[in-house]
Amino acid sequence: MSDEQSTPPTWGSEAKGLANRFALGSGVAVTFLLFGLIVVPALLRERRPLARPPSDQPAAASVGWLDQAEAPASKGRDLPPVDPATVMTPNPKLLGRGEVLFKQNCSSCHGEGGQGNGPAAGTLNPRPRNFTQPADWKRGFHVTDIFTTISTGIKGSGMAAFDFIMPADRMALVHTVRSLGGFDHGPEDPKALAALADQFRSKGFHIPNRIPVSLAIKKIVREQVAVPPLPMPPAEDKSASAELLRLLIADPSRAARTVAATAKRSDLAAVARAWAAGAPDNGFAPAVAELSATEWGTILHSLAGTNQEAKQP
Amino acid sequence: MSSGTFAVLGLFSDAHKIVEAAQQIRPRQLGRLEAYTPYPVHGLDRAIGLAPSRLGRLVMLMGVIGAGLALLFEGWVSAVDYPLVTSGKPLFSWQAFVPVMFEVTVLFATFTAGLAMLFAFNKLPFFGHPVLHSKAIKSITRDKLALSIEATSATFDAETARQALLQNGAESVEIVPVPVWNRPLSLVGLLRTIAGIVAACAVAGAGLFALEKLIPIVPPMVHMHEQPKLNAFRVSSFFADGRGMRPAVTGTVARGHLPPAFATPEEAGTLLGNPLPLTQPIAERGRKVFNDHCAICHGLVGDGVPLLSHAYGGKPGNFLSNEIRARPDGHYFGVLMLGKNAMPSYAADLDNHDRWAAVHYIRILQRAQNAKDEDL
Amino acid sequence: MSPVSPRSSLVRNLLVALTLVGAAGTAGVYVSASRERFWVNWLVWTLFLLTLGLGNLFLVALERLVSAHWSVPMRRVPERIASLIPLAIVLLLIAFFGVPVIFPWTYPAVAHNPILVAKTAWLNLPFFAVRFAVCAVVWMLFYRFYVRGSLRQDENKDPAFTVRARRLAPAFMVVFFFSVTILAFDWISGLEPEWYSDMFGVYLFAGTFISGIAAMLVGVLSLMRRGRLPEVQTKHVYNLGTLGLAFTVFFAYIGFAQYLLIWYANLPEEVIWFKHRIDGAWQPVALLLPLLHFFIPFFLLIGALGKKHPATLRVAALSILLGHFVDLYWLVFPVLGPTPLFGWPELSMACFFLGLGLLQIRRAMGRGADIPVSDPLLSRGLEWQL
Repeated sequence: MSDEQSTPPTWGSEAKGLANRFALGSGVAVTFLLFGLIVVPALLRERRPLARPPSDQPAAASVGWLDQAEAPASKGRDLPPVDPATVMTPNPKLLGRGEVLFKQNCSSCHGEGGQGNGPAAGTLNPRPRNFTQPADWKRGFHVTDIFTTISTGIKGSGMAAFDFIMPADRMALVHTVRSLGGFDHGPEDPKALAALADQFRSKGFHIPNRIPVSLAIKKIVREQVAVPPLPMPPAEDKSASAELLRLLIADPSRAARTVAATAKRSDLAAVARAWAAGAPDNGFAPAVAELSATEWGTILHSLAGTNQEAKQP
Repeated sequence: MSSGTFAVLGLFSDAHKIVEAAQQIRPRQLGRLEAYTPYPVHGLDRAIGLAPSRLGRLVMLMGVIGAGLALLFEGWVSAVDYPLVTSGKPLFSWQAFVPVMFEVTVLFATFTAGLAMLFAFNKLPFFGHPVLHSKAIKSITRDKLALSIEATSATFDAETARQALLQNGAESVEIVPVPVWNRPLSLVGLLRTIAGIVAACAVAGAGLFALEKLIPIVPPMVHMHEQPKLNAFRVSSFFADGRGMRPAVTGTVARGHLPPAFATPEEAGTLLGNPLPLTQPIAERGRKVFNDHCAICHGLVGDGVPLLSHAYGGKPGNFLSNEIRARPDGHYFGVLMLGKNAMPSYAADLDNHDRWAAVHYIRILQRAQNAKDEDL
Repeated sequence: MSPVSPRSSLVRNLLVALTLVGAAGTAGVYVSASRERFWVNWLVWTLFLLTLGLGNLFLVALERLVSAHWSVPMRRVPERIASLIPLAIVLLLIAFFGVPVIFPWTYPAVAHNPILVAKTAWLNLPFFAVRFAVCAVVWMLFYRFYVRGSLRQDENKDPAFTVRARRLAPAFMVVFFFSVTILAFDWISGLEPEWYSDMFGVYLFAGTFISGIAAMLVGVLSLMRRGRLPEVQTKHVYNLGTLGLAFTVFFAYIGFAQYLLIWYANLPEEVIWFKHRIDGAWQPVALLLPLLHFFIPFFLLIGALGKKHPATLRVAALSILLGHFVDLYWLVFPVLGPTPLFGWPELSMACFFLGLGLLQIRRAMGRGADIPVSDPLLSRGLEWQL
């Protein structure tokens, strides 16, 4: 091998070195070209809008935490009352804010243009309102009506109460909704408007305290009041009511919770229905659904007795 | 000159002779015996004193470990971490695990056999065995059989070894010197290797990525979701009614599941209370269920801001709103069973215990996001 | 050929006594126990003897097919065990009296069972008998060809027979697979004719083959212990052990694959067959099966040392043979009810059939030399290196 070292470099080894350098250089060049012309453009194309739009809730302490539920505790505060003058009539700033909020909260059902044709509209019955025409508004389309609807929702429909949005923002939404309909919304009722203005003046908006979920779990678990399990009749008790109890109660401790939860109700038929509906998870055996009226009488009587006893200490 | 000798090679052309020679020379303990033959020779391994390979035991051990790990992994995934009932089977269905256990056993065993053979027992990687530089190597790879006595100690005497080989029938003897490593590890060479590897990885990765993103008609990888199968809610040409999702047989319920005793969530709210005691383990269970199933739409804090962007068109309910907070536990349970608006029913995906645990957890979230002053 | 020693005749007398006691017991079973139980016992033991014989005939033909050298010195053992085939065929002919008793597709109630009505084209007595006759004739022909031919070669030293035996081996393979499948479908799964499994023929073949290897191992080892096979060395037995290991795994693979597919699909008409055999009182038997048929022989045979050690090999082989019996028992007996029956009827019939089988093998042991002395491949088989 030392002989090879001493021999002068031949044209073959020279060419080999050149070829090596060429290969290395072209490899680097190809890499740069690939990244510059293909990979980076592809990455740019892939870029999507921010995954989580800024929350419409004021002072969301959770932003920036991987598990927002574990964000550190924050003290709640009261926002001052809204000056009605700034919100009762539409202005460009209000409409701008309203447009953002509309996209976040309303457009999925009511559609981008408010025509009641959002992506989720098909799943709703009744269908979401079409804001662009005057027909079929359940509460009417005056400022106060729309504000009520946003704040409390509409029972029996998919419209939820958006009470978690600040009042001023809700008003922004009201004006945005009205601006989508090109029809005449008619005159407002001055009395109702004044009442709404009073409401704004009198009450601020409370932002609640927040604590991490793990802390909440500890607190709630500590607050739980233990319910002693239903005392089952002793095995040697062969009376009809004892047999019935043994047949019906699958899990005395769960049944005790169920009994305690329904203890305040006076309508025995409703209680019986509730117990049957929750079986067998609520500690009662499914057989509870097939009891006769007299058997219900027996069981309620004996359970009421035990419940009284359990409550006394 | 004993220090400069790696081994003494004796060449034979008869397989019987090399076995005999090895049997004769081995008791003299001149050095470690090794044989190089162009084809396997029966009995030569015993003649040069090759101990039985320990590879078998290692393969057995790793095979058993592979089987155990596969069982542990599958059991943990399907019965502990993400319990999902598949076609009505128990969560820990060992029968379904056996094929994977078998494969993993084979995987571990073959990898152990191959890698341990190459790297542990054959001591790879090394570049240039000294015998490869001998003159005899050409004939060894053609038709000659070589018996080599390797120098194992300073007292090794090449001449004695040469005589011993010649006396036992070697046709010719060659003394193989210890190779001189005259080429030190060069920085340039190392850098060149690293650059080559980096370039290869970059080119391969970038090429695949670019193909995938820019020329979607030539997907380099076929994705699992693109396989020919009947997806949920798709039309089937097989069933007469054209429905891909089969309804349950009329008049049947799943084993252990009674049909719900309510028609609407509101009715469920009046009928049902949460039967689970709110304990730490149940709260943790509820947290897991909520984060696995609910948080993707309702958000990790339950504020109705979906985790999954707005790819899906609905506006999920905000559990922190006064309206929803005021609803009884049973109402939440009813929504889970029956679905609401754009939300589908979770009757098939969760069991009652998990549903009630999730309801508890929603209450906990409401408390956490609306805490009392003394909680702080 | 072997000299009759006093010990040898003692063994024969013991076997005869065993058979006679068993025969008396069997007659007792026929008189006192239920007919179903008698015929089910008869079927299990007949199938046991038949599958051992067929497995060994298959081993002989396999050796011919691939022109294996290593097993030539031991070939007389499987050839002799294959002599169980004619005995078992006779016994199975007798079992025809039991066909109307234990096979539900022969009952008059078939007319009310739409599944069985649809299957009458296959499941009817004449066709059943024809199938059996064809199989039996084929088995006998090949048995005579391979075993008699091999014995005759000892005398006439005709190397052409070895060539002829190899030429015919592929035909035997094809015929063998079909006939064993028919045996499995007709005589075992026919007991529960609503059930079906495409793999069942392969399952019985796997059991036949592995138990054939086990029987051959036991035979070779016992002859070696008596010094009657001085030329056979550890390396030959080692290779037989390797074959045994491979097909132990094959049997477990086939058995589990059949179970897994049916378990997974969970179709009521298929899964009920396994449910009868795995749940309740049959569970211990079902657990015994993989233990005897797979785990014990697998772990005994997996190491190189185990396959070189006669005692280990014998334990593994006996475990497989016992496992094969448990397998047949587990396949057939659940038709009698949800509890495994094992009492004096089973024991006495076991004595009868084991005695018959061992006597038959012993009789065959006397024929010809202990190794095929004139086989042209014998010297290569003896020289063969691992």
